[in-house]
Amino acid sequence: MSPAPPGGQDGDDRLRELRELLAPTDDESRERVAKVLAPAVQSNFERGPDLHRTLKPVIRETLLTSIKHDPGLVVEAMLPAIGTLIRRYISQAIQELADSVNLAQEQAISLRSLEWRWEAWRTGKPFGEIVLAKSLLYKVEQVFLIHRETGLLLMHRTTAGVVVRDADMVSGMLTAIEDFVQDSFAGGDGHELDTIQVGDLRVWLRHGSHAVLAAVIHGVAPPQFGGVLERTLAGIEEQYRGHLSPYRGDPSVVSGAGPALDRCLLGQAAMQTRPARVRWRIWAAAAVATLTVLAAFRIHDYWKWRQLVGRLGSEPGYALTLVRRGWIHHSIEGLRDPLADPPAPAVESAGYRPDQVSLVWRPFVSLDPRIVARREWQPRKRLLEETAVLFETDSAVPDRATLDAAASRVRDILECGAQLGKQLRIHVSGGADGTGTEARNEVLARQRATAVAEALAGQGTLTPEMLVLGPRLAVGSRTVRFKVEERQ
Amino acid sequence: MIQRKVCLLGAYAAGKTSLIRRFVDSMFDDRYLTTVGVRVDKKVLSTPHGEMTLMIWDLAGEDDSTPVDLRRCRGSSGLVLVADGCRAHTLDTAVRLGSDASKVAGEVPRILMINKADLKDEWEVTAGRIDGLRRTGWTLYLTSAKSGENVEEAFASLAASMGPANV
Repeated sequence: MSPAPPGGQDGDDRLRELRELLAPTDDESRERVAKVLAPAVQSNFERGPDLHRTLKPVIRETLLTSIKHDPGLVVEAMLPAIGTLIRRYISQAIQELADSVNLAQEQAISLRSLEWRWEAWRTGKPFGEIVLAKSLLYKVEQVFLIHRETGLLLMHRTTAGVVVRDADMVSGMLTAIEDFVQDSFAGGDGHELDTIQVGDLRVWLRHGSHAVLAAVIHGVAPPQFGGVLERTLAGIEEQYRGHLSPYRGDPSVVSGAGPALDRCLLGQAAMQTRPARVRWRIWAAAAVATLTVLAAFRIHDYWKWRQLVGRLGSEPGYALTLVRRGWIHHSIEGLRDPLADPPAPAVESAGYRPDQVSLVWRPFVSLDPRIVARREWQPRKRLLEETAVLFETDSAVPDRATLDAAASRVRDILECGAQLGKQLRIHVSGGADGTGTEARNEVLARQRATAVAEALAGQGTLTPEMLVLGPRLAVGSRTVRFKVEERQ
Repeated sequence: MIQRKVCLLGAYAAGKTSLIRRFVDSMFDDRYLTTVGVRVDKKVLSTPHGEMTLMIWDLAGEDDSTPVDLRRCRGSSGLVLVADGCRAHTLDTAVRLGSDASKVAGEVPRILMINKADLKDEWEVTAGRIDGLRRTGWTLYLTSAKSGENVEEAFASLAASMGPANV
């Protein structure tokens, strides 16, 4: 049987069936196509790349149009994925900065850096981080957690003592100003307002997909604080994502985020306690060191002073009436016999410079035997040297009276010399008058000197070694005379 | 407490700012409107759903040279449109702003306040126009910035219609 020609009843039915398959006109047909579409696409992909090639430009164009129309949508979709990457990259950059600070500080040795080094070692933190934290003083006074789309305040925390105007209105206006700045200056290309600075106050803003974290900081916060804000915001967004998109206007849904926000209220207050204590310790140590040095100086000076005063006090010819020891200058007053040794060597040997000790002396006559001996020495010496032992003509027997007088004066000079510690030698010289022959006179002069020396040798401490015969006296003197020699 | 963002829109000099001045808590002055283009005020209201805080974004009025930046309406839970009864074109502007803002904020509750109810004799806006708007679904209040008439009621009705289920 041949097929029925087109145009017949059968043909019409088939045509309708075919039309329904190719161009569905009612809901039922759409349903049928929907059922087969997915498996059809799947099997087409498995057969080859034809469908892929066909769809590629369509999808590309659709995506581009969509991005052009609303770039924010794509950014929002990708933020969770690329946000983490960017955060990691920034952390790495900060780490590198901290490392370079490390290197620079490695060279610097100061009391402060030693202190920081100790803290870095103790806490296990990198040295650079400690330096940044310590060298920048700041205080985070307020933290706002703001719903990004509505500008509504989700949570607000402050440090104690900070006066806050209506945080709800601040939150709204901050959002409005952010929009304003972005529209006016960033040209809507996705850059966001990160920092606002007013005098010493700074507002740091960090943006997530659904929320904004704003910190009001007094002073200059270290760059690490940005990381703290970012991590806090990321944590809150992850935990409350379901409540923030869509947000139903009830801030109590994020009430659990309080402790996380409180941890952002960092700053100088906590960090200053320690340096204050350390500073106090340094002052105390410096005071103790100063006192120790002063005490050592004082004790050393005391010993020097005692030495000087002791020496001058026992020095013959001195009588100390006033000794005064100051911190730098000292003074001694008293009586000094002009025959006493000068005081300068005593001052110097005690370790003082002459200008450190002022000396005021009034003269007096000392009865100290050593000073008396000094005073008597020259007169006694002169007296002995003026003494003459007399002889009869042509006789070597000394006149008794003059011999005794000479012996007495020899004893005096010996006593005086012993007192002064002098080594003495007495030269005994004989002489003769001009009568008689020269040879006789020569012999006679020597006999006379020898006779006197022998007579004196028995006297007191005089030993024969201390007596020497001197040269013959000039002609015309029937005497024996003496000359005192001081030996070194 | 539930919080809602509400945008206040209208033509230039329609009296938006003076209309809410006595009604809201304010901490920023009018200069923000001419510089930043917006001022945020606050009003706490009692509603059938409990207390509600309205953060009212007063957007600078539209004039011939400066269109209102309707992107600011993003995230609004309600819209307040303000017109000046003595200038009919401000009502057209308010209606148009209402429909444009809905494209940004979504289909959120909105009210229309026709201001200067105390100068009824000088009105250009006709009763027929008002009825027509009411028939098309507008919630409409005739208000007076001078006496404060209907302002509280208008906001209370908006707050009630933005119940806890709405966003």
